[in-house]
Amino acid sequence: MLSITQQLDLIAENQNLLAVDDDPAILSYFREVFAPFAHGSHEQISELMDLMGGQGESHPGVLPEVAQEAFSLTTASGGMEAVELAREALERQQPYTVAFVDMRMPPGINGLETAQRLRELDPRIFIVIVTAYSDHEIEEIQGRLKRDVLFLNKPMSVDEILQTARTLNRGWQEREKNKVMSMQMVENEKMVALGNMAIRIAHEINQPLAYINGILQLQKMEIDDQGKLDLEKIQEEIELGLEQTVRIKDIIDSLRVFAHPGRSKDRFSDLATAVKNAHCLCQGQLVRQHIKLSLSLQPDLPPVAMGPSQLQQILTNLFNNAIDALEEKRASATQSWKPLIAVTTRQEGDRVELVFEDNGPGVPDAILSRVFEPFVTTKEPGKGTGLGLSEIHGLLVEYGGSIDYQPVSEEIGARFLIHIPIYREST
Amino acid sequence: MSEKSKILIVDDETVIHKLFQKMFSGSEQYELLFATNGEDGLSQLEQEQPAVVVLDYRMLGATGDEFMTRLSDYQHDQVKIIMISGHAVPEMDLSERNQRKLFAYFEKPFFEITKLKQTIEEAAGGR
Repeated sequence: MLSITQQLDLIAENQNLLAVDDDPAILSYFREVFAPFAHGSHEQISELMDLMGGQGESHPGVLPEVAQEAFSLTTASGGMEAVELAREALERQQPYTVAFVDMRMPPGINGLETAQRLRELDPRIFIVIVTAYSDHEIEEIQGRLKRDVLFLNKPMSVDEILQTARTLNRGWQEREKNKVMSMQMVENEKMVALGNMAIRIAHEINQPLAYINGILQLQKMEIDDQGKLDLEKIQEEIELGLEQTVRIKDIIDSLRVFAHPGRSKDRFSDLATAVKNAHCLCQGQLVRQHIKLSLSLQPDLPPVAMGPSQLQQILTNLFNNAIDALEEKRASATQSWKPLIAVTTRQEGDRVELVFEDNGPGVPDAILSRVFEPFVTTKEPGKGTGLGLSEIHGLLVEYGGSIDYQPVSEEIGARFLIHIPIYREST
Repeated sequence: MSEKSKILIVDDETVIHKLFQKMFSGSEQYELLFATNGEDGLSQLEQEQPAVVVLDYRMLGATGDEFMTRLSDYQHDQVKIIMISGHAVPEMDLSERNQRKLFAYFEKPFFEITKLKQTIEEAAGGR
C-alpha cells in the first residue's frame, strides 16, 4: 500500500496517454504532436505549430504552460493491443489518463468495443472517440460509455489534440487527487471515532473486571486470615462474578462484527440481534445518562438483505447519535424532561421498517437538507465526526435501503425512518 | 464509643457497591452509604455528613468534577474525596482547584485493593 504522498506524487506525475488507430499515418501524426513534450523542447513545439499553420500564435497562452508538461504517448494499432497495453500500464501503476480511440479499426474490435473494455479495466480513464464517419450515433456511444467521453472529428488539428489531452489529463489528475484527499480525511475521522470507541469500551469492561478482580483479592485475604469461611456468601459472590464475565463476553461479542467490515460473506442478518448488540455496546452510557430505552421489535422478522457488520454499524451509529443529542439537550431541558430512545421494527411488504426516535433537540432547520452529507454536524469540534449519518445513508443505499428524517412534534426530537429490503434466497 | 465514621460510595455501578460492602464487611467502625448518581450523592452528603466520599469520576447527571465543584458550594471542604475511575487513559479532567482537594485517585480495576482500603481508612481517620 502506497503512502498518501506517494499516491499524490504518482497522480501529479501521470501524463500517460494512449492512442489507438489502425492507420499508421494517424499514429505517427499523434506521435509528432506529443514528441516535443517527451523531450521538453520549446523550439520543437513552436516549429511544429508553425508547420501546422501557425496555430500556436493564435493561442499565445499555450506555450508557457506547455513547458511544464511532459506527456508520454503510447500507441496501439488495434483494440486488443490497446487493452493489453492499458492492463500493463495499470499494473505498473502508471495508468493512462486519456485514450484517443479510432472508431473504425477492421479487422479487430471497433472503437466503441475498445473504449468499453478500457473503461471496464480502469473506470477512471477519459475516452476520446476519433471518427471520420458517424458509424454510431453519438447518443449511442454516450449511452454505452456513460461518462467522460469526448468526440473529435478527423482531420484533427494539433491544437485540438493538445487542448483535449491537456484538459482531460488535468481533469483526471484533479479528480484523482481529490479522491485520495477525501479518502484520507475519512480515514482520519474513522481513526478518531475508533479511538473514542476504544476508550468507551475499555471503560465498560473495567467495571465488571473491577468487581471480579476485587472480589477475588478479598476472598483470598479471607482464606489467608481465618479458617472459617461463609460459603453461602462466597457462593453469592461467585455467581455475581460469573455474571460479570458474561457481561464482558457480551461486550466483546458485539465488537466482533466490526473486526472485518466489508469482508463479511454473510449477505443477510437479523435486525433484532443487531439492535440487541448495539444496545449492549452502549448500555453503560444509557444507564449513566438515565436514558430510557423503549424497544418494540416485531417478533420473527425475516432476515434483511445486509451483512451483520454493516447492520451493526448502522445501529451503533444511530445509538451514538441519539445519546449525544440527548446529552446536548440535558443542559437546557426542564426538570420534567426524561431522556428517551425508542426503537420500533416491523415488516412492511418486502422490506423491514426501523423507526429510531429520541426526544433530544432534533436536527436544526439550517442543516435539515444536508443531514445525510458527510462532515455535517451540530456537535462541537472534536466531539462528533459528522460521518455517522452519511455513513448510515451510504450503507443503506448500497444495500437497496433508505433512510429519511421526519419532521417532528414537541415530544419527539428526531425520528429516522429506515427501510431495508428483506433477504431473498435468489438475490 | 465514638460514632461510626461514614463512608459514602458514589458509583453508578451497583457491583462496585457490593465490592466495597465486602471490603468493609469486617470493619465495625465504619458505616457505608451508597449512591448511584451525583444528585443522590450530594443530597446524602448533606444529610449524612460522611467523613469520606469515594467518587466515580464518570457519572452523568454530575461528573466527578462537577460533584466536587458543587461540594464546595455546600461548604463541605472538610470531607475527604477519593476518586475512582474506569478510564483506560488518564483523562482526569479535574480543575486544578479540585485536583488539589483530591485525597487520592484509584483506577479500576483496583489491583491493590488493600491499598485502596487503607487509603479510605486513613481518610476516615480510623487509623
